[in-house]
Amino acid sequence: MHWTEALLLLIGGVSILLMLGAPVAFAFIAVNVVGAFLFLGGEAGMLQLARNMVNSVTNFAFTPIPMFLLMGDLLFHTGLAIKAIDAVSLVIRRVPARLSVIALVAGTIFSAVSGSTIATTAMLGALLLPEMLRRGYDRKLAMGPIMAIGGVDMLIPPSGLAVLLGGLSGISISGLLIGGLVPGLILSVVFIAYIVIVAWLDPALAPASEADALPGGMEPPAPIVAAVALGLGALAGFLVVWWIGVGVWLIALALSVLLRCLLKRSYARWYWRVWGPTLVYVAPLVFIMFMVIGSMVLGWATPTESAAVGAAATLVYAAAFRALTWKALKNALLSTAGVTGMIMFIILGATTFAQILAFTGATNGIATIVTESGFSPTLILIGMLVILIILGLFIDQASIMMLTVPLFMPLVKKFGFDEVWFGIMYLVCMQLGLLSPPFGLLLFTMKGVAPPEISMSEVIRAALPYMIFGLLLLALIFVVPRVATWLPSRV
Amino acid sequence: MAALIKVYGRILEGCGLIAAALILAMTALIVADVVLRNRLNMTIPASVELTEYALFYATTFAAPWLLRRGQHIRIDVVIARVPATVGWIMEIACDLIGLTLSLLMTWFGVAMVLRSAASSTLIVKNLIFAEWYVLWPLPLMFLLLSFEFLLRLQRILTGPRQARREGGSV
Repeated sequence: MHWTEALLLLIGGVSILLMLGAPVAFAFIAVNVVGAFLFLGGEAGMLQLARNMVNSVTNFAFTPIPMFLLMGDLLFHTGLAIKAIDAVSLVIRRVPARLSVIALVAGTIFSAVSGSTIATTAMLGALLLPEMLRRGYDRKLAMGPIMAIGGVDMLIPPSGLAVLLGGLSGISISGLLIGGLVPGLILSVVFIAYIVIVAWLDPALAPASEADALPGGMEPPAPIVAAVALGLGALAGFLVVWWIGVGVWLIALALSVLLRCLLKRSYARWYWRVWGPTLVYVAPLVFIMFMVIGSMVLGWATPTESAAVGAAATLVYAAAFRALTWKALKNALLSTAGVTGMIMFIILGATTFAQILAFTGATNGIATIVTESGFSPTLILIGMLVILIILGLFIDQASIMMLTVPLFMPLVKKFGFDEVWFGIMYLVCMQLGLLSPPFGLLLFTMKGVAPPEISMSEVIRAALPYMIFGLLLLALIFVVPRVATWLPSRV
Repeated sequence: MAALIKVYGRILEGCGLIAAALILAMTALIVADVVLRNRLNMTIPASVELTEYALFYATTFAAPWLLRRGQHIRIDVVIARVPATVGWIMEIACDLIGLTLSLLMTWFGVAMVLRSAASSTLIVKNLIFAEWYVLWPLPLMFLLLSFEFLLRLQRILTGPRQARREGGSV
């Protein structure tokens, strides 16, 4: 059988079974069984297929996935995530579209301690959306940021899908996790700026409420000392190096706050009332975040080790607040086991697919056709990204990876593209897929938690601006690869 | 028969719990290794290997439990939009394909385990043990999946003629 016929049989078979509604893993197992009989020698091929299934999942590269998921599940099931959102909402005051901004800030924090996009969107949607709608927020302005920040979760480490991509493609998992941080934060900042500007231009989109005022009507102390400290810190940053500048700024800010509290007790009360819950509930999360990301950036721990330590730290955090009941632990672990099982079972079913593609000559055949096509490497790269975006419109992220990684990675290697750069752009495309109609996963998650009167078309319209920002980020990374590769290159 | 099906449901719930416990054990093992290495200059040499096996075991135990809960990822682009009866037929087709594949993989999985045991193949890494210790959950998983696909067929054939509302997501 010529490789083109084999390719048609394999890709066509998977596509038909996927459209039929078969579980993704079984769609791949079915074509692998056919491939094993046709191309791998019948019974010997089937035994090889069974052995490959065992070997595919018995892989240390995938072990961070359950632990990253466990971090988020623990926070959600112990109720600590809700307390953290409440704390963030006390700090963020007097900004246009305050609740939307809270969703974005809280979502960014959770992205850094959770490996699950769906969980972040579902939780923020269930918690904040009803309140936003009750206050008369424009529906698009209310739903859009929640969905958008769920997508960012895929870029900001810890990210289960980044580990999956690294494990399947051979791209450095640390590189992907660390490389996603800057693009993820850029998106978060751009989203916040967009929301604030839109609500500032048209305040009717997000009516202010009395609840947005400071607790007890207290006014904040004039931040003169803090402003001086900020100036000194910034100056130090320019004069020395940025991280010493940030350090000086933080120390000066803390000292100024302490000084003001000592001078006037009402300031102390104000600071404690507004910032106390953040110190208690959010600061430990930030500490865990730094522990997980920092240990990888500094090269102290492998992704698996940082994931395990992060999960253990989250357990300790929950126990310290007496939120770690047996029920919460059991539910968190079962939720983690469920999502881990979903992902790993697809890998178990699909691994031999790449091997059969290679065995039939399809992988080489495609690589040869593409390289001899005369198209420039840049155009081919754009083609790959367009394919990923189109696939993202219809199928889930794990399936896209199983289908495309075996075909794309040889090309990436052949043309000498920076693998981390390619991987981050790949993840941005996956993030776009989560938000893009007609079948973006986060659209359905939002529809699931939104009141029934909100139509799917409204949900889709709400996600549209954030998709455009995602595309712009993709273009930025494409044009300026350092956005993705700068941080990993410093490790 | 109903009692037997109920017991089988409990077995699947137990599988989910085993998968959850394995994930907790993996986490504890890696943390213990990190702490011992950094504090006492000791390591658990087999920690990497054990977590790899635990991940495989957790996957095999979770898979049948997830099928019972209708949580395996699938794409419902078409099935959710066709007439109910067509969706029902598609569900039956999917279950039949799943059943056939599961039985086939059970057969070849058992063959793989028996061959490995007969040839006394060993895994020689930090731990040295018979290879079939690692292999056996695969045919067991497919056997449980076969039972579940049979039960799914029974449920859909006796239930309303429409597609199921299920399908997990990452």
